[in-house]
Amino acid sequence: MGPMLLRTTASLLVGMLAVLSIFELLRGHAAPGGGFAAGLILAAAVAVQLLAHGVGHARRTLRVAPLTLIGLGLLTAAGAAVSGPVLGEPLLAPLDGPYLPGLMQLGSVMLFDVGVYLTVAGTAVTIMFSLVEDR
Amino acid sequence: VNGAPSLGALIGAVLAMAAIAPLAYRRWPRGTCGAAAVVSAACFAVLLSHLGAIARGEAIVEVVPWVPSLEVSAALRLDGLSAVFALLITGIGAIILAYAPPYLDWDARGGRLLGLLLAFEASMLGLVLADDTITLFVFWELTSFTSFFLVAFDSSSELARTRARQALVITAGGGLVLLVGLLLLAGAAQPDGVGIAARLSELAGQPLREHPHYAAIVILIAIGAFTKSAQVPFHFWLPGAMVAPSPVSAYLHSATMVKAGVYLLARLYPGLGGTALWIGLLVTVGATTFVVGAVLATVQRDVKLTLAYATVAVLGALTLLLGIGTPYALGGALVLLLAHACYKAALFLTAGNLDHHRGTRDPFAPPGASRDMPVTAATAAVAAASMAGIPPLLGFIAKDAVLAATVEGAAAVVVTIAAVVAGGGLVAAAWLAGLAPYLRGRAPWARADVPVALLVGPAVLAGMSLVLGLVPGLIGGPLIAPALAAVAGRPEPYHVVLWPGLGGAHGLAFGLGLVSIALGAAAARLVWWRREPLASLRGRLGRLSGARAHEAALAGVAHAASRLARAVQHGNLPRYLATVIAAAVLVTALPLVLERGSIISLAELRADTYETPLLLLAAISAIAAAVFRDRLSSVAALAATGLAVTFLFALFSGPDLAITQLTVETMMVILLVLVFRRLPPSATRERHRGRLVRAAVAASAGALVTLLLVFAVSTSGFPTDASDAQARLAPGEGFTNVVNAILVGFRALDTLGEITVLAIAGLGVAALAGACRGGR
Repeated sequence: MGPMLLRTTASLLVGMLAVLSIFELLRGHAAPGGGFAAGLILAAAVAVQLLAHGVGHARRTLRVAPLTLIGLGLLTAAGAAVSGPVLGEPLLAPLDGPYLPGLMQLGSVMLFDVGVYLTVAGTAVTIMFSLVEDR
Repeated sequence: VNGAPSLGALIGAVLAMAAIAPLAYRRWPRGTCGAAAVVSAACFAVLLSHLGAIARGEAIVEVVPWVPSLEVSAALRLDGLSAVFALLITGIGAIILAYAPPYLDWDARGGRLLGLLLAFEASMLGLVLADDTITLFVFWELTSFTSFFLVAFDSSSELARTRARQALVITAGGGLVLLVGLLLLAGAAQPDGVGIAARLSELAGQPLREHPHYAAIVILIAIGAFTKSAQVPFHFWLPGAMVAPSPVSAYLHSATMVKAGVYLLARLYPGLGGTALWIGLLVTVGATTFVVGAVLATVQRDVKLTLAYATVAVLGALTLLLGIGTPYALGGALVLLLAHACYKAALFLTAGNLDHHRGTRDPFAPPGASRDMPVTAATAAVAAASMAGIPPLLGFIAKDAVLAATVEGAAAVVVTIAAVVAGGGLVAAAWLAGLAPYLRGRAPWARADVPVALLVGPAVLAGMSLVLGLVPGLIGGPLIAPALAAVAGRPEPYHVVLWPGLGGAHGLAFGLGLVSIALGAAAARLVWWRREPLASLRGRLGRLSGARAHEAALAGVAHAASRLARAVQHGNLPRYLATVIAAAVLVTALPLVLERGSIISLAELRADTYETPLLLLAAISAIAAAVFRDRLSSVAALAATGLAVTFLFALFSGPDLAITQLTVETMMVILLVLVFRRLPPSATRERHRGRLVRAAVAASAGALVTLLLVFAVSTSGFPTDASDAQARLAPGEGFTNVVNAILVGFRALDTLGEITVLAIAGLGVAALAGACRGGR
């Protein structure tokens, strides 16, 4: 169990960090941010939960196993990569989907960034959990 | 010939049969065996149909571009020389393919043997048809690999595996030397070209002999040829490879693969041959191999080993003749090649019959046994007579040609004496392998013999020795003359006749032939009388062979590798890190200092109001991180450095870097703290000297990064491709973040690789931690 101050503010912090990570991910298209930093922020959110309430609670907060995150992330990135060849373009060619006015451009690049995000977050969380889980 | 299958189709047909045979054999063993032999025989027939055109001086050429930018092409060419070898490969191949499954009593291994033999046949066919040096090399290596599997056919035997590895190490190692020689040759053949391949048929007109690389080319290619063709001192792998089944030995180790080196030397003769270096090298090595092989052949007590050493001797004779290089010697080499292929393959197959029927290959055992195997015995006798050079067999013509060539060639006296002695050895070896196993004993002849399927093949081959000896015109005009024209580079008057008379060199040669037969008969008597003391002599000679050096070298390599591994894989984590960092510093710093030292200037360096305190903070915390004795304090100091750098990034308008740096620093601190939970409470202090070394390494790494930064700021004109990339990646609105555009768009392949590595590293940590936890 972590210190009381951390325990009290943890849920608030976790929520804020999670929202911030998604914001960073989506913002990466047009402004500083992107999948890598966003993934680490998500991992930091899990770390707060871990330090405050322990690994079991952190696992429950994350809901999915971190290894699943890694797998999903790699699959997403690879899927974005091969979407080019599937549609007759070169590998990793940027394919534009619909544009959300004022927000962002959807497409294979965005999808690829989501893959990076999930892989980075999953890896960081996997390492944290495996270091903490008891000897 | 119009309408005939292409040369590539021949190789493809054999290869396709190789793929089908192992599967089809399970269901239809006899049908598959027959089909394999028919495919090979059909290739033989197609090649025969080309002979008319080849005799008129034409060549069949097929070129498919392969790597045009390097001038490599899959070029095939059938000329007189290729035709001789291709006919041997397909003709004897058909006989061997029909012989092999019955030799194994049609058991389940037959399919694998057929497939491997066919794969070898395709490789060998490609080797002799290739007109491009790279294509030739590829097929050359394929023959080494397929023969590895054939020698190790009895894969449950450790001896077979060891010998197969020995043969592979020698021939594939020689192949690598050959590759260097071929690349140099290609470079010399096209001085201003960028290609790495040359056409073998176009070498004749080139001024290669004056090229500065000539000596290197000849020596490297000769080493490749010598390893493949079992010349002293590489000869030991060939007797070692006798663990292979007899049909394999008959095919690979008499008629085809071991002749590949001789083929290559003959093929390159128009371009490279005839110089003092060529003559000296080939005559010396060839004559030595001729004598060593023949002498060792006589002291063996195993028919197959006798035949193997006799093959070594004949390969030496072929090298010797290619070295002498007179038209008579070159023609003689071709006749000897044909004669040897016929009689040696026949003798290997009769040795196989012996093994199959009696279970032993000892020529003197069992004492006083019945005289069985009459057909095999007759076949072996004819083949042995050809081997001994008795008229009217083809071997007599070959032997006469060899002796006539030596009395006229380089270093005539020494080489001729060597040839006579070696010829005597071959006569004794012929008696050992072809007569002694069948004629010893006093019992009446028994009719027992091996199945008919095992009698046809050797009988055909022995019959060829007789027919071609009686009617040499069958090979002289259609086969030998075009082949000689290909080797000599121009048509030469050369006639293959059984009885050339006694004029000129032939009288002397005939007399020397008689001398060598007498010598051989005396040697055979001696071997019979002294057969028990010979065992110890064999042991002593065996110790002299290169096999020991080979095994010692292999053991030495393994020993050195394990010592190196122990020295490098010491398991000390700080030392690994120090090694990696020091190596990185060295390879980066050296060229920078040596080549760019002059353009480094400190004029651009300055720090303003905000930067100075941040730099100071970063520097002080870095020093503190190294000095603190408590781990947590060190981590905190490290984090302070990272934060200072983050602010610097923000100051220098690098928000992306700042964000990334901040998140990475945060995660690093969390992970380090978690790691420390698992470490023993107090860090053990290491020795003073180790700390000094590490401090030096760390300081040099810091100095290098400083140097790189200074270099970066004192170099003007950074490339501005990033904006181009953005322009390409941003059709319309949206993608305005250049950093991310590069990371997930422009260089997305790199990122894909990086996240894969990251994921693997994460899995590795999880697995390691799990293993520690579970104690597994």
